[in-house]
Amino acid sequence: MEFYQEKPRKGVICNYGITDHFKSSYLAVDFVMPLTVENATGMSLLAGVISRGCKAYPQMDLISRYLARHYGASFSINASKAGELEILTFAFTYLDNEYAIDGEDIRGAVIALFKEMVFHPLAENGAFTAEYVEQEKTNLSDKIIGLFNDKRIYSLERCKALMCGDEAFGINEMGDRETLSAFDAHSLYAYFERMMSEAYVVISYVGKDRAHFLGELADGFTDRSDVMPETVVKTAGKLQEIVEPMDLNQSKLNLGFRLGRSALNNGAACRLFNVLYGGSANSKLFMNVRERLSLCYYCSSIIDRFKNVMFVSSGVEASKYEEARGEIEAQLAAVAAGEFTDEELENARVYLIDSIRGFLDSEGALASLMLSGTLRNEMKTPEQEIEDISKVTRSEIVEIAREVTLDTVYLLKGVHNEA
Amino acid sequence: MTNSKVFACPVIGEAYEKVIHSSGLTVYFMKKQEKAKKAAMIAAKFGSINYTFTAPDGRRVTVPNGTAHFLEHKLFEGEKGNAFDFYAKTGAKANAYTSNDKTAYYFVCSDHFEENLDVLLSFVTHPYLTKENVEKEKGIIAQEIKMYEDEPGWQGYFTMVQGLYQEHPIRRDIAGTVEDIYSLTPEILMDCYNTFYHPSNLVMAVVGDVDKNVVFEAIDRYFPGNTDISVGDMPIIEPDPAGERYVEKAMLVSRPIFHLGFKDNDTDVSGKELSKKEMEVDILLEYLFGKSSPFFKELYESGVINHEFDCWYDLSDYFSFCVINGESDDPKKVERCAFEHISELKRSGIDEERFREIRNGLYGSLVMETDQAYSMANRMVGNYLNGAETFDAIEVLHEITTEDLQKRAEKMFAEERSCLSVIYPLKEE
Repeated sequence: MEFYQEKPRKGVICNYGITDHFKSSYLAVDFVMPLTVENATGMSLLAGVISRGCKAYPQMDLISRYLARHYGASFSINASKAGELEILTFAFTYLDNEYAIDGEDIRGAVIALFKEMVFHPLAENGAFTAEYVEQEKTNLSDKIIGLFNDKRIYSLERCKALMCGDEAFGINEMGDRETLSAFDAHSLYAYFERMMSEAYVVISYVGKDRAHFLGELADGFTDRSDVMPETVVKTAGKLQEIVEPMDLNQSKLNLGFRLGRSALNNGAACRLFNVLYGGSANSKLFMNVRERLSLCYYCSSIIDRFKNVMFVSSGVEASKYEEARGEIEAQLAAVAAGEFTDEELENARVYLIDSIRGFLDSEGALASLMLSGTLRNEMKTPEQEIEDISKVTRSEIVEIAREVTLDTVYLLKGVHNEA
Repeated sequence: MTNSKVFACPVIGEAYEKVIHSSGLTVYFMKKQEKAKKAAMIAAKFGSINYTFTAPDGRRVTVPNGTAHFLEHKLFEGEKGNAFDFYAKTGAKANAYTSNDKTAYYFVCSDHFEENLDVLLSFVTHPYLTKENVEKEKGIIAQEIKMYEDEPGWQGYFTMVQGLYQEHPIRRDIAGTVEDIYSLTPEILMDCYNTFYHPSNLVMAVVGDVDKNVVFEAIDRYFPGNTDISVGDMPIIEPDPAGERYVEKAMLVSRPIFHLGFKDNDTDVSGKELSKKEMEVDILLEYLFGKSSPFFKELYESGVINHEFDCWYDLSDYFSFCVINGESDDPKKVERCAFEHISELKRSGIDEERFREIRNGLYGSLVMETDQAYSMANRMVGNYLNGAETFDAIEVLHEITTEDLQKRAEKMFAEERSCLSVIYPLKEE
């Protein structure tokens, strides 16, 4: 496994993850912009409109049939956020040529489709197809409203929005409906052109092909700024506690925390802290809130390394909310007081190392490791990540835990039996 | 080792071995050179449908819904501690699931395979059920049940299954209700364990860069004897038509969620024929409803459905049905349109070019899947329980003809064997 990076143009990066582990290859381009409502909405809408067709294949079924014909190649386009960055990703996975039954050039066909989808979207006279834009506006609007359907995700997103109401991080990766309603076929195309010329571009390949062929794709882009937009890191202010009732069987408890300076500067320790505290089935949260006290089925923590924040989520009985919250905070205090055994620390370390080694068997995981390394300007292979994690000490974990501060508590309270 | 057979798929350079161990346990072993991930799974042919059975001592036992699932949770507990405590030392990702027809326990790891295998085999072969630890689990599972009660996707799917089937035990809830699980005792759970968890009712699969001797030495250790107990098959009587053609439920969703199910009436198929049937249905589903289909295009472009759309095939030794699922303000229109496209296919046959494209696509996905250790272990276990072999799918794919597909469509898709379930938005006051 080796990572290799080229910078063929200013602001355009090509990443190669060379590995013999797969019968397939992964090829993607990421457009990276600051997280603003306009970028989140614009990129999310673009994802819908571009997936409808390109000049060469102006309808969705034509694209699907092309992909199927080429041995189940897949294409997806998706907008997401990382810290305070919004990223539009075009991704292809395809079977390597040696497995084609009739000797077809699958790789060549996918690269051709890549160029069509990225550089020649279906547009004329400075506008996308109006009908597609209107339909995709409706679809995106439904999707934004539909966030509500999965209460676990909905409550976590709500907690993020409440905690970071006046920060970019509070913006949903899909944007909002008000901004969406202002887009039309012309303004979306103008937005697309702006993204194509201004966004930081990362092209990635994972597979066994050792020819450095991404330059050919990078040629489609002009020079642009190579300054990565910054994510603003804040400290917690006054604790916010918000309860919203809903007709549900189970309450969803979410706690939003700010991490401190040590977490920001020491990625390996920060991730290890998270695994120890709530990021695995052997964590403090799982072993205590679930296994010891039987308060929930799930209780776990996640961190956003860009934004330097952590969220704990759990599904609990409304009447047990105080008890669950108390235990979640108590377990954090325990880590901060160094109350964890060497065995617990080593278990967390082994768990994290095992996960990272597992990246070697996932093209998507390798690509996202290269992308986040690029965005943070510290590209590391799984082996290098493992080396960093093996060196983390107990006192580094304690230091990270000590600096964690609770910012927001959000309870989506189930009131099903209180009619 | 008494009986062993190698299954190879030369075009992709993969092979696996199927071994019937002296204990009666069937073991699949797939060596993957130089891969990081290793997966092991062991599954009992015991799921939510096995609610009534004859215990080894001859007693007839009937258990509450949710029993197989509860036992799954409890097997992780051992006299010397919880299996998770042991996995914690090795860093494995371990879990389990219970479906209608099986309970499967597995781990995926990069290192310490031998220790992990020892943990897996140890807890599955050594139940440790006490009044206290059974009581303790009830609170956790009650929260799991409540989580599912609030999940519209699951509720819509399960409501459809209950509408589609009239008598079949697949109608029984996998997790049970909170009342069901509170009635469980260690004695009931041990009756299930003694009936279903002996080697000849279990199957195991190992995939990865693993030493075969390590695997079989562990198996010899944990399965020393041969206790061949015949479980006896679940007799299943299911009338041909769907129980209900339409079912609905109100929940807190933004837009109606539909599940349109089609119950198969050609269920007496096994072995290679079953793999062929599975591939035929997969091709038909993509042909009729996939993203490359005129059906999808028509409904998507008119705004009746959106990207939240999927179709799949649920197949086991005991049941076989297709599901079309998505969001729509007009689920009846989706149903009408599905029926029209099915009739059209039955009337005019299959377009040869699209058929070839879909077959290519399916072939590519099956080949790519062989890179994934967990998927392969899960697939080998599932296929075994259905009486099929995993590489048969790739092999039979190129034997399928358009005539086969047309015949299959007749058996698989009929209006009188379909049920539409709709979860519609409940407005909050």
